[in-house]
Amino acid sequence: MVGGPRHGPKPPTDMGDGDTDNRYEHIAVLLEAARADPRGGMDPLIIELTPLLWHVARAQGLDAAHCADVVQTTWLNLLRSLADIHTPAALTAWLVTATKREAWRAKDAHRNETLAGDETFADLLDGSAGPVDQALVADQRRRLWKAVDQLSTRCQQLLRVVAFTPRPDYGLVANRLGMPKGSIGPTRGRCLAKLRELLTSDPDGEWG
Amino acid sequence: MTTVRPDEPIDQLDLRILAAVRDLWSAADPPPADLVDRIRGAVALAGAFLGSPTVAVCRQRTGSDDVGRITFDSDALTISLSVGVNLDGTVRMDGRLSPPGSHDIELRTDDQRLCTRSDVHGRFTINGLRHGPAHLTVSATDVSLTTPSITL
Repeated sequence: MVGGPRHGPKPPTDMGDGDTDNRYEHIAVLLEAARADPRGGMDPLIIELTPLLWHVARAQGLDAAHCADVVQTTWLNLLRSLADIHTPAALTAWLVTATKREAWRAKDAHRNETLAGDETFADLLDGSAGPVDQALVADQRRRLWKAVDQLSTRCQQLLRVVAFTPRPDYGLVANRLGMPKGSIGPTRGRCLAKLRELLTSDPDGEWG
Repeated sequence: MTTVRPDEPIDQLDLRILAAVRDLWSAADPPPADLVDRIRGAVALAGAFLGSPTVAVCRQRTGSDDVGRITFDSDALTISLSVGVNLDGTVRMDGRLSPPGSHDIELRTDDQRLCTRSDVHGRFTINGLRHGPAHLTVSATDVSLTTPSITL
């Protein structure tokens, strides 16, 4: 599809991030390969998009072990639907929706167990160790943690998923997080704007 | 402090912030290191049955993961497994299918592929397994069922 029309919804503006655009096009190529050979052609897609699905599942408040099962089940279910999915936007939307539903189902099924999936940013920060911990204490990252932690849970959840999603799908992802259709843009914008404001208002930060 | 209006177009700084958020979560809460390989194995196994009339995925039943007993439900079949450890440290899996029937059964781990067949009562045993993640596939007449990963 190089040189052809872009599939799926266009981003609302030109955001000028070549890497993200390339990733979207890359996924289109991987999707074609998987559709052509579902038996053996899924691996690159799984490698590319499993992190997104992981963070979608985790953002639903499910613990790590169950999230792993949820993501795996979603990929297995995709095998049966792959023939009906033609664009990266449709693929991402399908995967995000399926992951979220599966996570909710798992959460409901294991309601009586103690699920450790509701960690706050602070919990994750405190619980990390080793190299990751060292990376996290880097000043800019620490400031980012602090700013994100001040956002509402809904905004944290939305931005976590949006950050891992190929850009043309921002709107679709927002939709899958249960927001009113008409407010996709403004809601996403408000969360981003709030985070940006928190970061840029820090006189010692590097985001200004 | 500059007030940012939410209806302003996303710009480079927004993208930098989102990239930083992505890095943050990647460092703080990454997927398990073996998750992609587990999924690839499960999808490859399920993909092998794509030629079958139906490929279905079982779902683990609520509360079924205590004391080595696991139950997977699907529309077509229920798979009940009892997993125990032998004295020599290997793992034994006893299973029962409902409704009962004689079907081909394949258990695949990272380095093992074991095949058996359930009896007319739907019972089967797979013995001598090593610890680790595994997937079970039952090939009934008109459906192939694959379980999510089971940790032996």
